[in-house]
Order: sequence, then structure tokens, then C-alpha cells
Amino acid sequence: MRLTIASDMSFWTFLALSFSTLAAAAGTWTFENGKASVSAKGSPSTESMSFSATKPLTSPLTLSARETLRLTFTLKDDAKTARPHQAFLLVSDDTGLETFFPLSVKGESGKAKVELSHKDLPAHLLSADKLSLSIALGSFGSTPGSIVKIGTVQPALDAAAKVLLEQQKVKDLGEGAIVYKAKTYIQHTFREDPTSPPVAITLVFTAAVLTSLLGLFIAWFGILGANLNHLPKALGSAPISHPLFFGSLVALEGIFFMYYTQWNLFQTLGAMGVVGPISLFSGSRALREVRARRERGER
Amino acid sequence: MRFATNRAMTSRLYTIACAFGLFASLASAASLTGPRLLVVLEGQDEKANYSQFFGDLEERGYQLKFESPKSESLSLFTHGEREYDNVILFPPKSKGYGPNLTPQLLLQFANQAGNLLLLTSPSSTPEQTREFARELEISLPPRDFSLVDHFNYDTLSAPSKHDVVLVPRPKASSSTQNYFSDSDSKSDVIAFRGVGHTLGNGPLLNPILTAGRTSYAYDTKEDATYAEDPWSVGSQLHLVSALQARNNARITVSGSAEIFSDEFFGMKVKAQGSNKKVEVANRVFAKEVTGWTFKETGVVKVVGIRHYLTSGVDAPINPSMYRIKNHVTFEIELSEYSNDQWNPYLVPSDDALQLEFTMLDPYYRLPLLPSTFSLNSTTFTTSFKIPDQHGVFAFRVNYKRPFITNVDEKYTVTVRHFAHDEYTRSWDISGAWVWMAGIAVTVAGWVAFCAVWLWSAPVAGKSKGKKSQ
Amino acid sequence: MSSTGVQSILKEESTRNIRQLLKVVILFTIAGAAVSSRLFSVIRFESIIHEFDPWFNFRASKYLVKNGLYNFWDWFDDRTWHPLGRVTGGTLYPGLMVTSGVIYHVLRFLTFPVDIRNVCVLLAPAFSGLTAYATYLFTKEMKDESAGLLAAAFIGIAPGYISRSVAGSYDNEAIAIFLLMFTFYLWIKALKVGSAYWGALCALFYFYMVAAWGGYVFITNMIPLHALVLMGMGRYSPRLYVAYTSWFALGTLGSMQIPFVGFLPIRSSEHMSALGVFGLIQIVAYVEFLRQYVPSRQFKTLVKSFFAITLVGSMAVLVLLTLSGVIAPWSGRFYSLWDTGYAKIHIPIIASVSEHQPTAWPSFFFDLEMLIWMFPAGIYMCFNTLEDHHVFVIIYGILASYFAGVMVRLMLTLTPVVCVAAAIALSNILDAYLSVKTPVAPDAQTASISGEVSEPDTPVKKVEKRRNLLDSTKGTIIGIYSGTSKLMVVGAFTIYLFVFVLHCTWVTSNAYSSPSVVLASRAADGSQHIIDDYREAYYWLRKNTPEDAKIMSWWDYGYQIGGMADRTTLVDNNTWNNTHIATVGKAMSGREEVSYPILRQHDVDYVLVIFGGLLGYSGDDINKFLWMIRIAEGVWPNEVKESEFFTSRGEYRVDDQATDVMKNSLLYKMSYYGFERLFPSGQATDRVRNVKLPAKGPELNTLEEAFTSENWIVRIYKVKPLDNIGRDHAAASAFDTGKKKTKRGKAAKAARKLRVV
Repeated sequence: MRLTIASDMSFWTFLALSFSTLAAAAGTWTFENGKASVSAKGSPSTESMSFSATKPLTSPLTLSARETLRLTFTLKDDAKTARPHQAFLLVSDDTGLETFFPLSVKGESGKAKVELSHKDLPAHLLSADKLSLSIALGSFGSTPGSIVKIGTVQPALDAAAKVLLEQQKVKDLGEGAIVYKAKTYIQHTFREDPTSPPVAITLVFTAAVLTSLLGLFIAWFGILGANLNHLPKALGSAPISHPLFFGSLVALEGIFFMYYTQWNLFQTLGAMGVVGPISLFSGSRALREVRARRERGER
Repeated sequence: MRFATNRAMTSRLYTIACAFGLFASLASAASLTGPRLLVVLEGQDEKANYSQFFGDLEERGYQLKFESPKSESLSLFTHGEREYDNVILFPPKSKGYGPNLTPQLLLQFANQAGNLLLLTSPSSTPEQTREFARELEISLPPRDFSLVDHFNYDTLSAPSKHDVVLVPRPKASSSTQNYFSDSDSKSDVIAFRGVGHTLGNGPLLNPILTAGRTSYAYDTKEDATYAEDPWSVGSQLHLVSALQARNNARITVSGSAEIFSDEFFGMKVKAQGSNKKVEVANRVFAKEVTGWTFKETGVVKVVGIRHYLTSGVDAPINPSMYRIKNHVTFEIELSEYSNDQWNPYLVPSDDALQLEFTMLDPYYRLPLLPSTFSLNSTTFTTSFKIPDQHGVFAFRVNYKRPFITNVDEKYTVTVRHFAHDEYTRSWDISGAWVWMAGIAVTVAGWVAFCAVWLWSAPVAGKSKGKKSQ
Repeated sequence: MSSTGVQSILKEESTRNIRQLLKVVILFTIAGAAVSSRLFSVIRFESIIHEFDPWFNFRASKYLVKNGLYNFWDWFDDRTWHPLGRVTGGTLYPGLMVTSGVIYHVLRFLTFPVDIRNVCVLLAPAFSGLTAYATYLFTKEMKDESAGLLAAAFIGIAPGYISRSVAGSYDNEAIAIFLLMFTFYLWIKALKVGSAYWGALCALFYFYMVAAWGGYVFITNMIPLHALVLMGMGRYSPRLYVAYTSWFALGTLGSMQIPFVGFLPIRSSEHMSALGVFGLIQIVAYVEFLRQYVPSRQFKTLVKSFFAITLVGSMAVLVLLTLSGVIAPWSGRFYSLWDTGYAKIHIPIIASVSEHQPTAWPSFFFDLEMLIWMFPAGIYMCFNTLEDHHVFVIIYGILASYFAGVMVRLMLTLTPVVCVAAAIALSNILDAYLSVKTPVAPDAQTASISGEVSEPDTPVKKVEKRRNLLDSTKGTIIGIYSGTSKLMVVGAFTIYLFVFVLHCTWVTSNAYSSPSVVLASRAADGSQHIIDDYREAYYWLRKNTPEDAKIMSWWDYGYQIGGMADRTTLVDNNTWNNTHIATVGKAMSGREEVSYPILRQHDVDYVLVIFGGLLGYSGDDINKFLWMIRIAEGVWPNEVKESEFFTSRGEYRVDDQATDVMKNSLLYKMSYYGFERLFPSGQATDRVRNVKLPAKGPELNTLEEAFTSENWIVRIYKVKPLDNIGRDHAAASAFDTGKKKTKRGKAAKAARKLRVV
């Protein structure tokens, strides 16, 4: 909604300003002898600066925590001093947030003054960089009102006050801390995937590992003289158990391979249940034959 | 097309279906809540003052029932159920409303999804209304405060009192839906006589009509000569405001009953400094305000929600479980009711319909973009990859915006971890090849060793000893 | 016990078959006694799962039976730890559930129409029979069969073990003690035989143990320690090498198959001793191997120094790896074993569990009765013979008694060794005193010393081994000649045994057979009154709340809510996420305004509290409150402060002297909400803390009472939704009760309130 209000605001300011310029010729509510001074409590006020309806204050006033801004005017209905029904100091920030302070006017003399200090300002205004001050004058009857910007004021805050101010802002907002509007987008950042070393290095090491098998075979068969010369002898004395035992050993490895690639635990256990006893029984026969050979001194 | 709607949604659809059933039998009441409208108003002559206003309502299918504020027979509920769908409360002439219109009862009416239009006036707003409004975070000024604007008043009807204030119609905004700035209207100004109110910061509250910067509310009894202590000034003053409760019941508070009167409907006004007499837009505005309050506009409904695995051709719709790092697509189909039909819902240009994927905190907040339109609805879609965090997540579309009914859909899904057989297989990881080669070598070596052990013949005495170790 | 009478017959009957038959009969009788003494709870109450953890195990078993092993393995549980969920399949020890699942399927296959609940309830008693058998086997290896039978009888009825294995106590320990004893038996067997076959069997049961209980770490450290001590005593042998290496290699590989354990065996400090000893034994074996070939003295010193350097070096590497984080440092629970104050300071969540408290002295006597004084005697007997396997009992005894002193729950691991040692001692006594033969003086010297009287064929080896150890005692013991003294001693021990049986039965019946889900109280006339508030409340939840309702409670009740009410919980007894528990603690200890957003954020629908003030039930949430506060303070030290819950004089009070923070805490409000209505004005009394409560009870705005059980033990509150028109709950309830808001007073000089949104 803020956008809507703000757009209204600019429209109205424009309208009001156009009115005031228009009415200036015809005679409007106005003021003169505008004086602004900033004073701290107990210390003499600084030099007061003058302004008028047509000449606003040029430099921004600085208002710190213990100081009071005092504005005095003489209000006029066209030319003669008078008291209008509406005589407010409007304080707004640049988002269009605005509050008001009625002037205290002394009877029909038109002498008006208003004081402004930090504690009078709502937290959301006080935390703004720059506040603009306007005077709105108007009354019943036909004299047009006027709304005039008279200057800007900069609230000076120390660090501690800023913290308090932020707390106060949250408190003022209450439920309004939740605003029903589109929120910022969020993307999830994923943890990085684990990385593998370069394939070339992997391949080198893989080749090294595979070569070691070759080395082992060379050591066994080439240097240490391992051989399979007793195969016919073994088959001769235990024709069933030897192939069966060796076959079941290979089958066990095959089962492991199937488990690794696609089987689940139950299939694996089932297959093991078949192959295991075979290898147990044939193995004991085959190994007995091997022992017999050893006992005969053939190994 | 398969839609799975969650429980809340089906029940909502059911009520909507019921509402449709009612329409069919009772001509065409445009309100989605229902046509039964209670008008609390004192006296026949008052009723005559608002004949056009009531006529317009009847034309739109409402069944008006008039009751006096103190009436004994007046009851908002029968057997605990709402007797009426909508209520308009005019300010009573006497001190207050009767015992059947206490703030608690009004709130209960809203809690049961009834809509309220609360009209106030400077001189006769009862304390009960004020108390009720206070619960809504709307502050009504004390008695006898009145709104004036010395800069924008009607020079014809209030040349000296300046209390017929001219307010432009609400401007269209690019970030919200606009139900109060119909561009067809010839006139662009609303004449207002009454008082404003100030609002709290709650997100449910939204001003419809805001006072101009130069207007203010003052005490007509105390501060007749000088506004020493005005109630409020400028844009902090709101003339017509709305609260949409969490159950989508709508409560609208107007600072003036008169703006809906025949007098104001037909008024021609001339602003200060202008020479042209213009017609006011009060009648259009009244239609817009009552239409919105009684849910003829700004009702958005969720037709369906679908989410599924993006990649899967035959992926199941709305599964209850996903896995981390799945790619999913989420679709939501929205439809908007305007006046008498369901239209495809369109998101304002500066707004966004967003999907959150949350577990305690949102992991994703993504824009849902319109993908397909049907005759009655728009489908909004987005796709994303589920975070690498397991847990109970929710697809959440929390689309609450001013002036439309809340869309707050929370669709819980479980995101599980990788199952034991869903990790990358080792042969797909190049770094594992070395280890796999190691296993292969071991297996081959073992088989060869077995063969050698079984069938090797002794060669020389030396090699035998080592092998048999 | 029966075995004492049997013994004398055995001595006369030399027929092997009758001995064998009697042994079997006795073992079955022991198993029968073990099982039946655990059925008190079923008879007293009903076939119901007990306590807390068993409810989870039960729920998991149901899931396993319903969905199969693989789904169980990959189980992601979205009904606990909302909204985080729990990777349950990967964070539990599946042994228990798989065991009961297998039993269930086997029985179904045999067409027994059993319910999984009954399998679960009766699993622990059934396994206690097996434990008795395993203890028999273990003790038989230590001494002989008669000692084995005694040990089996002891473990069958010892309250220290019964406390964890009554019917319905469906917890990991129910099967773990059997596995512990059986693994130890197999280890001793493997060590004695020196065969890889027994080592592999030991590894297989070790694997089962790992699958069943986190206490497997005890075995993981016991066996290496045993091996290390043996090596230190210079008793390295190839048998040890074969037994240890085959156990370690296969056992470690096996244990790594359990998802919850995973790579811990090579990554965590608790497992490093096994790995270290494995490395050490390789070096020792190598040195032994070398010694056979090179008998040079200088070489030996060289080897020794090399050995020392390797040891120091590997220790340094271990420390370095631990510091660098490659090896996980010791877990908190493990630290608290060494420093009893550690947990209290650093991990309140562990200290808050009652079974992690140090054991009080009386409970040793309560749980073990006469065994506790037989135990040192048995250990002494082990020193007497001191073979390799006796070293094991000694180490086990020392370690387990230390741990049992540190933590109440570890009394469980102590009980078996106490039974074994006591059985050795008692069997020795009976051997000596039940001998009908009058010993002949010269022979007695060798035979009577440690009860080998019954077995005349004492191995000569044993006697030789003993010689160098306890030479001084040799020859002084001659034998028992007098029949009177035999009768006296045997009579005294018979009485002791009878008293022991009575004590065990009494303890089992009175202390360990309460399901704790159902409470029993005795009225003045002695009649039993059942207090069934828990189940009343859980069934209320089950029947009256939506199925996806989220229940917040303190974690103690998480498993029960999941198991009995079948509703989603925020935290439960699997305390894996301290922060989440602390969040609940914060919600419980915070003001309503603080807690409500937490409840909303976690989708909480209902809050459950336990309140004992009406009945005088001391295990309620107010008494646990300080732990909630402490745990929450550990995570949010600035928002929750324990000191604020104590009065200025340092008292923890709940009456009108209680601090404001206490009175405004959600738990306090939920406990005492509406309590004063039960009493005449100003007379409300909390019977647990024995204090008068303030006349005006607490007000609750964000919650509404949904259910309070018969005796007010369980109170359930529903979390209110957000106010329909955006007010805070306090304002809303003030409005509902008709309290008028004070008008916005024109405070003299305060800044004006603006609408800024």
C-alpha cells in the first residue's frame, strides 16, 4: 500500500502547491517573520535564522538529541494578522510518511510558535536522514489555504540512540513487521560433490595394480616354478571332487560378482547356500587327496 | 488431467459448490459468501435516504433484511450458525446498538466467515463500534470530531464549512490488485462528509480511501475557532479501510454513511479554484466497496496443485515422498472470481506468486510463472532440484496480498536420503577404479593360488617350503 | 540349587550317559526358571511393551515385518524429529528387530498364528534361557561343567540381568547379553584351540553383537585388552595369533556392514585399541618368527628396541590423526565413563538420563545379593590357576566392576562375570566339601587344592603351571577330613542359595516387573489399583487428533507417543539432535510469547506434559524441568538462564514464592493450569513437592486444554491458531472475557503512533 499512498501524496502536493501559487495572487493564508533556532536545554540558543513563505531555509538544520528546534511566525490572512483554523507544522520523510504539530497561536495577533525535539518524533521519522518541514495554513471561509515547505532538518543520533530507535521501530510496527508482499528469491546452494582425481592418474595406478598380478604370476610360474603338472594325477585319483571344488570356488566369486552388480542379499544367501556345501564337501575330498600326495612326498 | 486437492481445498471447493447451488436457485447473487444481507438501520426515512444504494444491492441479487439496531428479534445466528452472510451496520441515532450486536457477537460473525460493512458518522458512532474497531486496530475518533479540508472542498454544498471533502478515487497500483479504481467511470472524485480513522500496522488492515494531505479531523465542539488538538491529519487519516481476516471474512469500516446516500450519489461538485461542475463517483465507489466486502471481487481460489518428478515420463502425481536431489516440478492452478464468474488469475506486474520449499526455513523461494491458461484458471509452474537435506519439507504457496483472499497452501512431502542402492555405482567413479582393480587382482590371484596349491608339482626343494606356508 | 544335590549323585554314578542327560535336564530347568521368573509382568499386568526404548524397537519391528528388510534398511522416518525426520534405518542397531522378525516369519511359516507384539514381549525371556546356556559354556571353559551349571543358574535369576530382560522389556540388551557371553565363549574357545574356525565363529557372533547393541564396543576393547595382557605376560602363542587375527579381520569387516557403525571401526578412538593390538600382534609374531632363526641376544635387544620405537611411533600417529580429525575423538558418552562429572558439565543431555548416573552402593547388593561377595573369591580362584582364559575373566571382572560403578546401566555387563566368578568360587567350595571320600594325606597335596577332587585325572600340565605362581600355598592345603565341617559349610551355603533364590524372586517381582507405562498402587486395604493414565492419554491422541498431528513433549515420551499414539513427535529418546531437544526445552521454559512462535514454526498441534502433582507421581515434567532448562541454556545461554528459575535463596520452588520466570514458563503454566479448581480456594497442594500453590492459577492464552487424564498425570494442550483478526492471544482472550481495552490515553508527550506500512 505504501506505493499507493506515495503516489497519492505526490499528486496532492502538486495540487496543493499549484493552489498556493495560484492563490498567492488572490490572497491566501500566509506567514511572515519566520524564525528558526536550535537550542540545547540550559544553554543559550544559537543564532536564529529567518525564512519566509517564499524563501525557505536554504541549509538543513541539525537537531541533536538534547536540542529543541523552535520556529516562530506571524500568521496572516492575506495581509492582516489573524488566526486560521488550521495551522500545522508538517514533518515528513522522503517516503511520504508524515506527522503534524499544531502551532500554538496567540489569539488574533497571529503570533505562532512550535517546538520540535527528538522525543516528539515517531521512531520511523526520527531515523530518517532528512526531514522536510512544511507549514499548512487554512481556515473556513473563502480565503484559500497554503502549504509551504520551509526547510529541512537532520536528526543527529549517536550509536546508542540508534539501537534504541531500532527497537522502538520494531515495537511500533508490531504485527506490521510482516508485510504482505513478494519476498526476495532464495536459491539453495548444494554441498559440493566429492571429486575424483584426474583419470590419467587413476589409469596409471590401475595399470600398476593390474601389473602386480602379472608380476605375481611371473614370480610364481617363472621364478618359483609353480606349475599345474599334477592336474592329471589329481583328476585321476579324485575325478569329481577336484573339478567340483575348483568350480565351486570360482562360482563363489561369481556369486560375489552378482551381488556386487545386481543381486540382493537374499538371492546371494540362497546361492551361497547351494554352492557353500558343495565346496565344503568336495573341498574336503580334494584337499584330502592333496594331503595324500604330500604325504607321499610328491609336493 | 489429474488433480489432487488437499483436505482444506476440497472443503473450500465444497462450500463454493454449495454457494453455486444457491445462486442457481436464487437468481444471481454475485456474492460468494451468500445473498442474505442484513441492514441495521433506524427508521423508514433513513431507509429512503439510501434508496439508490439499496436498489443497487438488490439488483445484484442480495436479499435485504432491515432491522432496527435495538430490535429484539434481531439475531445474527440461529443454532450457532450464521443467519446472514453479510451485514451492513448504519450508525444508530440512539446511544448504541442493542444486545444482539455486541462487539463479541460481531467478531463471532466474522469468525464464522460473515462479512461486515461498518458505517460510522461523526455524531453518532456508538461506543460499541469504537470498541469493535479497536480490536481491529482501527481507532475511531471520539464523538463530534469531523473531517475538513480547506484546500479540497466542495464549494457548492459546503462553501463555508468545508466539510464536504473531495477525494480522488484510489489510484491503480502495479503491485496490488485494484478493485476500487475502475477506469470506466466518468468521474474521478468522491465527495466525502464524515470523519476518518487511523490504522495500526497490522498486515490484515488496508486503507481503501485515504484523506488528502491537507485534511484533518478536529473536535467541532471544543476547537471551533482553532484546531488546537486535531485527532489526526493528512495521510494518516483514512476514510474507508478494510480488514480481511485470516478466514477471509471481510470487514470494511467507512468514516461516513452519507457518502452512500442518494444525496451524495447524485451530487455535482465544484472544487475551489475550479470552474467546472463535476459529477461524483460515489455510486461506483459504493458498488466497488460493497462488492469487495461481500466477496464479489478479489476472491482467489486454488483449483489444483500438482507436483511430480520433472524427468519421469510416467512419474506419479503428488507423491508423498521424494529423494534428495530429485528434480521436481510444481504447478498451482489459480482462479479469480470477479463479479459473477471465475476468470484466470493474473498476478499484478510488480507482484510475484512465489513457491517456497521449506523445512523450518525456506530452502527455495522461486517465482511461479504462468504456463497455461484455461477458460477459468491460470496454471503457474516452476521446477527445481530438491536440496541435499532430508526431512519433512513443504511446498508452500503463501500468497497473501492486499484485497485478495489468502492463498496459503502447504503441501507436505517427505524428502528421504539416498537408499542403499541409489548411490553412484563404484564403476562410475573414476577414483574407485584403482580399488576395483585391486579387488580383481586379489580374486584372480586367489583363484590362481588355489589352482597352484591343488595341482602344482614340486620343482625344487626351495620353492616348496615357501608356498606351503 | 538343584545342581548341588545332583553333584553328589554324579560322583557316584560314573556312567557318562546319565551325566549327559542330567546336564541337559538341568540346563532346561534353568532355562525354564529363567524364562518363568521373567513373566511376572505379563501375569500381573498384560502382554505389553515396557518403558520407553522398547516402544521404538517394537515400532521398528512392526515396520520391518510389514515392509521387509530392504525397506527397513532404507527407512526414513518422517514421524519423529519433525520436521527433520530421522534416517532410522541407518541410525539403529537392527539386530533386535531382525531377530524378532526372523522368529516371527519362522513361526508364521510353521503356521503358528503369532502376533509380532507377543514375539517382541517374550523375546527377552527366551533369550535369557540362551544366555544361561552361553554362560554355562563360558564357565565350562573356565573350570568345569558343574561350575558351568552353577553359573547358568545364577545368570538365569540374577536381578542384575533380569532388570533388563523381563517380558516386555524389548530392548537391545535383551539379546545383547546372550551375544556378549556367547562371543566371549567363542573367543575363549578360539584361543584355547587356536583355530581360525572358532575365530571366524567368534567374529560371526561379534557381528551379530554389533548389529544388536552399541555395547559391542565393550567386546571390541575386551578382546584386544586380553590379547595385549597375554602378550605382556609373555604368553604369546600362535594360538593367540590365529584367534585374534581371524577374529579381528572378519569381525571388523562384519561390523562395518551395519549402516550405523559404518566406518567407525577405522575412524573412531573407541575402536583404535583393537586395530593397535592387531598391528602389535603382527610385530610380535614376526619377532617370534625371527627368534626361531636368530637366537642372538644382541639381536633380541635390537628387536625389542625396534618394537618400542614402533609402539611409540604408532601412538604418536594415532594422537596426530585424532588431533587432525581423521580419527574421531572419543564420544561424550565414552568420556563420561572416565570422568563422572564430565557429562554433567558438558553434555547435560547424557547426564539427564537416570540410567547414566553413577551406581549407588546398595544396588550392587540389591542386584547381585550373595554373588557380589562370591565374586572376589572367584577372581582369586582364577588367579590361582591363571591360565590364558582365566586372565580374561580377571580383566573382564575388573573392567566391568569399574564401569558398573560409573553408570547404573552398565551393571548389566557386570552381572555375567559376577555370576561366572561366583560359580567358580562356589563350585570350588562344593567340590571340596561335598567330596564324600576322605582324602589320603599324601595325594591330597596335588588334588585338593582347587577342587579337582571330583576329577581324579587332573591334567599334569595345570599343576606344573601353577607351581611358579603360588608356591607358598602349595602344600599347606591338605583336604577336609571332618564330616561335621563338611556338613556345616555345605549347609550354610545351601541356606545362602535358598536366600538368594528368595531374594531374586522378590526383587524381580517387586522392582523389575512394572511396565512403567501402567502404574500400580496399593490401597489401604492392600488391594491393587491400576493407574493407566499414560495409555488413556495416548489412546485419546490416537482417536481424537488428525493422523498427521504433531505432538510436542519432552523427549522421554517421544517413543511412547510414536508407538502408542502413532503421532508425529518433535523429539524422542533417540537423542541424536541436541539442538532440536534444546528447542523443545526453550519452548517449555520460555514465556508464552517466546514459545508460541517456536510451536508455530515446528507445526506443533498439541503439547503433552506429565504432571504428578495430584497423585504424587514424582517422575513428572516439573521435576525434569531443570534438565530442559540446562539443555536449552547450553544452546541459547542468553535467552534461557537456569539461575532465573531459582529464588534468590537458591531454591527451586513452584509455590507463590517461585520466580516470575518460573511462573511464566510454559511448562509451569501447562502443569498447573486449572489445578486450583480441584481444591477449595487457596488449598491447592502439589503432592510431589509438598507445597501449597498460589490461590490464583496460571493463565494460558496461546494454548487451550484439550485433554487431562483421570489422575492428571498426562495433560494435553492444543495450540491455538493465529487470531482471526490479527490480535495477539492475550488481547483476544481479554476481549472474549469482556475486558475492555483501556482507551488510547493521550499520553502527555509521547511521540504519535503512525501507520508506517
